[in-house]
Amino acid sequence: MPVFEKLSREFDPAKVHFIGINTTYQDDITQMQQFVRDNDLTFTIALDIEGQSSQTYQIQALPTTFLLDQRKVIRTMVLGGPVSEAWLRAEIHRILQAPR
Amino acid sequence: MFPVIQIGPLSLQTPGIILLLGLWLALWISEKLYSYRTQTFGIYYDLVLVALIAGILGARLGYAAKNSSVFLQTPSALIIPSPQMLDLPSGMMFAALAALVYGNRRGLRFWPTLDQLTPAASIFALALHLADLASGNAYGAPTSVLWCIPLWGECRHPTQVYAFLLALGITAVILRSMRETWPNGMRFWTFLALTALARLIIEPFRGDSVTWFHFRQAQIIAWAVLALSLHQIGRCLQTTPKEQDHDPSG
Repeated sequence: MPVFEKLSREFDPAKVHFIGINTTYQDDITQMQQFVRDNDLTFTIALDIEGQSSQTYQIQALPTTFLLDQRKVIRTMVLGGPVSEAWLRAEIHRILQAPR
Repeated sequence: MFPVIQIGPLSLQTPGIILLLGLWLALWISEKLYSYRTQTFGIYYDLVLVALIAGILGARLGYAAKNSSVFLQTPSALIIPSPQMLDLPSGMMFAALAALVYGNRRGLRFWPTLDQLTPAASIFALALHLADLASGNAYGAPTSVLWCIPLWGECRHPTQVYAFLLALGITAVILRSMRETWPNGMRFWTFLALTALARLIIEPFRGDSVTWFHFRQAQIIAWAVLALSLHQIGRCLQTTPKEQDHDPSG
């Protein structure tokens, strides 16, 4: 999570959008808000109450990271964590630089 | 999609397991095929191991070189054991170079060696497509065909299954060729030509194609590989029987 927070502050929000989705059904909105405050997260965090995104994206491991390009095509995904900062930064650069 | 096998608290990445099993199976079957001719297949295990290690190192170095600004910022990332930070073309180049140097030192002849390892490559390709099916990589475009598979909220072409079936056909051709006497290098180039052709067929059904100025990148590369392979097959067919050799360790 700190990696995502760091890079969300580093990249231009007009070009790169970070969205975190809490798919843990045990959590409620209060716990999630507390988590956001505790970790000082500034990017968008959603709570998947009905498990819709987990079902749509067929999440089988937590965390699962998807990187989508400007056309919302999934370019890469990583099952499990932690996600390396170098990898995330490199992949974002690659997607931004790819011809459309 | 079946990316993870959960055994108690242990999460195993299915694609990785499939690839390892695929590699073992590919070499094992090749050894069985090879044992009809000579008993020295062990040298190929060494060759593949050398190529594999060099390939992984090269893939990481290639990835770092392509993303030099990131790695200069955090040089320690170079040694992070992350399978994502690998560049396939660089890995293949390093693996090929290492195999070439090792093969030369061990006195292996180039084309017969490639021909001998071609069945292993075609069997490994099967594992590669199964691994893609397990991970969800190389996924298909949305469709309404009866045999579509639901993935990420849409019904999609099972492109990994298409690729697997075509690879199965290619493997059948390659394994059958082992019974016949083909000119040196022809088995390898045939495998490459058929693989490029398969990619040309599958690419329009893919949902993750990268485009270069409205052309699918993979198809452009596949056309080039196909043209080169056909040219080389033509050259192989002109080879006189005297120039042929079927014992790579000769």
